[in-house]
Amino acid sequence: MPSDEQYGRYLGLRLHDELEEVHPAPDLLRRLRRLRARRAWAVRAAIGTPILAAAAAVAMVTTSGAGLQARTVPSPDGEVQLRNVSYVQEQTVKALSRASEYVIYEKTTYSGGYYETWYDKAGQRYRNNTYGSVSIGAVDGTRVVAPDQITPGPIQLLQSHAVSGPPGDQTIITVDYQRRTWSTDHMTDTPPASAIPDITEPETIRQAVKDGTLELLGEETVDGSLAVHLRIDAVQRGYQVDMWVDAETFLPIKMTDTVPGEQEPRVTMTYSWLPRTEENLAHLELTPPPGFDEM
Amino acid sequence: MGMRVDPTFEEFVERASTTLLRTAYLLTGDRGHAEDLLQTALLRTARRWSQARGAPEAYARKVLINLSRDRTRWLGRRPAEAPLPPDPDNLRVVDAGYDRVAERGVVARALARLPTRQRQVIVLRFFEDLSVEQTAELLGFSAGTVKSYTARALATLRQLLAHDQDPHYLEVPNAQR
Repeated sequence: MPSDEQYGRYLGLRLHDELEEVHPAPDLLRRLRRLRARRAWAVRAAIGTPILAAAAAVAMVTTSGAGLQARTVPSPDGEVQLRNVSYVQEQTVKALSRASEYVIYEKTTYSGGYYETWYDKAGQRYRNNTYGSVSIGAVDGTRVVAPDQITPGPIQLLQSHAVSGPPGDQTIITVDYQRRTWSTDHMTDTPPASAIPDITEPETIRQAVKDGTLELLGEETVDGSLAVHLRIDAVQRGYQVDMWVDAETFLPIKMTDTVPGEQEPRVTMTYSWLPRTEENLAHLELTPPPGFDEM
Repeated sequence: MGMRVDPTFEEFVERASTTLLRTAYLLTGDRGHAEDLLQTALLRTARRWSQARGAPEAYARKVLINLSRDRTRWLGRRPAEAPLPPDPDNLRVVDAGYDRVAERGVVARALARLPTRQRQVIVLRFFEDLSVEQTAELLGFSAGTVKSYTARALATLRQLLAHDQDPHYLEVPNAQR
């Protein structure tokens, strides 16, 4: 007779065999996206965040000796200044205090697809597009398929959300391009904190720095632009954020999010800071396509 | 500012949802409740993603266990319920998998006859392949209690499956469908 441990392992294998054709519903992710949108889907509380005084932000800086690099640069008034981590953070916070003068375009890239988001802080609104792969064979519901037997389809637009209003009183329009449906929801609950710091917010920068340490890693070229590379390392909070701010404007142009202990970043975000022209603000509009059903 | 989509959560869902659903099914013995539990566990994991993202499987599994425990307590205080209405959008795809368990799931059905805590221990130890210590921590038991439940559960399963030679054709005596 097998020992208890052997018998338990045998039963475990039998259970895996018996359940090998049990899979989640193909639209699980879509449903989660929608439910999360209805429940304040990772929405930041930071719309209208008060601008921090630069001096206060500097006071929060925790420097790492290894990452502290400094060089002298001429200031606008002609004086020579020391460009160290405190200086860069101060300039970045100052630059972000003017974020409401822009339409911010953010592109988030990950292994399964990408997101586009346009933010208009002055108008307290934003809109995103979710691009991903639709698995061939899992959508039409005509046959049973295991995830490892599914062929990923081409990357395409899956969903869009347009959100407007202050936290606690937000309206969300959702368009689902796969189901050809759209809906409007009103969101009154408090948005949860996101795992990834929002580096376009001075307050979030301050909090991120408070949670960890800020290092200045030096100057690098990002997409042809000279940029200053900063690293916020918050192991306790479960992230390491590398951000690159433009060396002239000090506005963020790139961010990567790396889980401590992993080599490659899980998420890469790039930013474009666009003038608030009618053309750029039009990206914030979301109109359900003709023929889509309202849910 | 605005919405920050965290794709690492969606990657986690794609990677882990199948295993979590199967665990939920073994814990509840019911397809509808298993899917409800999975969805709720994933949403709670999403809401605490900043804490969960370092070890999301463990976090979601913990939520799943707690939810199944809550459900068991809740069921004990209320009349038997009608099954959930089917979702026609997904029936064709997912039904066959559950049908197969219903037809051939000899061990799964024997497992469903165990008391809740014994069932949880067996699922975590031998389906999720956790150690005694990990199982004890997850369930809030001592390691000794886990070993005790394991021994009792396996003794019961040996009895229930005593005549099981071929999982494809033999049935558990008096098994509840």
